[in-house]
Amino acid sequence: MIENFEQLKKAACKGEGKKLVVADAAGKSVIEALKQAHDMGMISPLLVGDKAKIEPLLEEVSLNEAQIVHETDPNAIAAKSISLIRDGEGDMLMKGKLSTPILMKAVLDKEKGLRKGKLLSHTAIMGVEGYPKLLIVTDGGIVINPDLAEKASILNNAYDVAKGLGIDTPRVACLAAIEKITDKQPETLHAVQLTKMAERHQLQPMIVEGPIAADVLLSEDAAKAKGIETDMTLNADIALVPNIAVGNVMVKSLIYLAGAKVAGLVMGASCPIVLLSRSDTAEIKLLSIAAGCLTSSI
Amino acid sequence: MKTLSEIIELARELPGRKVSLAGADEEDALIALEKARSGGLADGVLVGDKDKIAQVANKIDVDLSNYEIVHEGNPKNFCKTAVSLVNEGKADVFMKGLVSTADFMRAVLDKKVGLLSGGLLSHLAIFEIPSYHKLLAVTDAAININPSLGEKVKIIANSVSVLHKLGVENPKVACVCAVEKVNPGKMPCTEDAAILAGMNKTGIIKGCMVDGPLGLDNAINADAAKIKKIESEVAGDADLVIFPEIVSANVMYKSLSYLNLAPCAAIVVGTSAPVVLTSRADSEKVKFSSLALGIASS
Repeated sequence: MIENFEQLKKAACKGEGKKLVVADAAGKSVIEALKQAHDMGMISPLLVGDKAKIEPLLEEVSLNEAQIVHETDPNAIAAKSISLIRDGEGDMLMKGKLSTPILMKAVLDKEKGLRKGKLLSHTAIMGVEGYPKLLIVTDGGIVINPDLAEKASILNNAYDVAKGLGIDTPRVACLAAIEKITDKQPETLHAVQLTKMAERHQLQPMIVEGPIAADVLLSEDAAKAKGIETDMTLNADIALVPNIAVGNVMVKSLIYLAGAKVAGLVMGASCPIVLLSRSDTAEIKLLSIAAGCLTSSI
Repeated sequence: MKTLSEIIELARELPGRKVSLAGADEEDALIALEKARSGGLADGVLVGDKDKIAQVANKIDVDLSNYEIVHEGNPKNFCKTAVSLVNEGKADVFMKGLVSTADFMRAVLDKKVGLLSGGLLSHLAIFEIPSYHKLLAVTDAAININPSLGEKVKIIANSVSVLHKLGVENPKVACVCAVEKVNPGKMPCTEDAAILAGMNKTGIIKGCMVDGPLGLDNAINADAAKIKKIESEVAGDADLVIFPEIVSANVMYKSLSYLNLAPCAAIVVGTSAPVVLTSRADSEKVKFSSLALGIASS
């Protein structure tokens, strides 16, 4: 089982290297991340985009082994990238300079896209001091205000990531502001419903508990003081947040206040999608590629 | 408990109980009460027109010197007079005789002399099913049409308090739906059932063990639960089945009753004292058992 990012990187370097399709690689920071991942043996890059723009960038970092598939029109880049995955030429997908909506539209295309699960969701794998293992926080990036069925899909998507980390039966904590069930806070209802769905084998194999407040997730003392008996304290593999705002604030707070490291993946398509933001550091980019490598064989 | 006779025995053991019969000039009700009195279960107060009561008593050979009679000339006042005896603590159980159900229930609900306890009224029927290994309680076949989640919590509490009085310490409560899986958005009763199970787990619903959703098959049949891989202490061993709405509970009640599959005892609960309201179509055994249940739970 992978418990920290060092182990994650190491595990991603084993094997022969995943074929990473990059949709529009004509960006300096993208190429730099690819160079690093490539040199560590994680990936062999397959770059879709304008050859004239990509080649000089490759030369700059002396990444000579990358293969280029020449396309210039954004929609054509998206379509080509996806067909490479569909044809088995690539194991995972990464968004380069291409705009997110164009890529997502192509991914979600019913006939030619990469649909697998019921919905796409975002998972943030967090490594933060004080938490003894990696914590998958979902969904702080895609699904705005998921209903019960959508949360079930979000958990099934997160399961694939946990599996990539070598966890057979992940523990899921459904976060809320309180541990009591009240219809005034619908996420507390969803939490017990998801618990039951896991018990009835309606989800991938996982142990679900909730509602749990973040203090009980993160502190033995808090759990003890509140008198809550749970197996989740400092032990959950997945934290399900009620909505995008909570997830987003949680992930960014951990990054910017607690110095957390993070790897982000979009899950629910037929392969993991690395979708980075411009503000992501080189390390986040590398870790996300590494996480994609481990998840792509699930 | 396996048989209704055990409820009758239990009622016999409780000393000094008194039943207030509204409209005592009804044969069936008086027969049931006489059986209870002569069997040592309770004494009776007969409320109604004393001449008419004497006529009926004479016909069925009941010695009225064994009873307290409260003469009331105006039939409109039978119920109020009878219920106020219970309200004032002069009797322990309120029973319907020759009065309309509407008048009878109006008296129960009367703010001054009635039996309101601040809770929700619900119907509870306890069946002796030969093929089941214990008595099976069913709710709510008669009062709450389409209970909300909060009302279901109260219906469970009402029923559980009766089962406690019958000596079932930690009754197993099955929230029955058509399926045992949570079906988000499409079958709201399955969502409620999962929440009720969660409320029990987190201590909001106490004194019992709740699971749901369960199909009726896996609620009362251990093999059916096993085949469907349901891990639940309630499955196959339910003491109480709560149905999602009145129709399913009523069909269950009437199937068991009118296909002659099982005799039952039924009362109205959630009141400050048990209310026995049998229907003319009920057999003598059901009427007597219901009265015994009322006495036993008083």
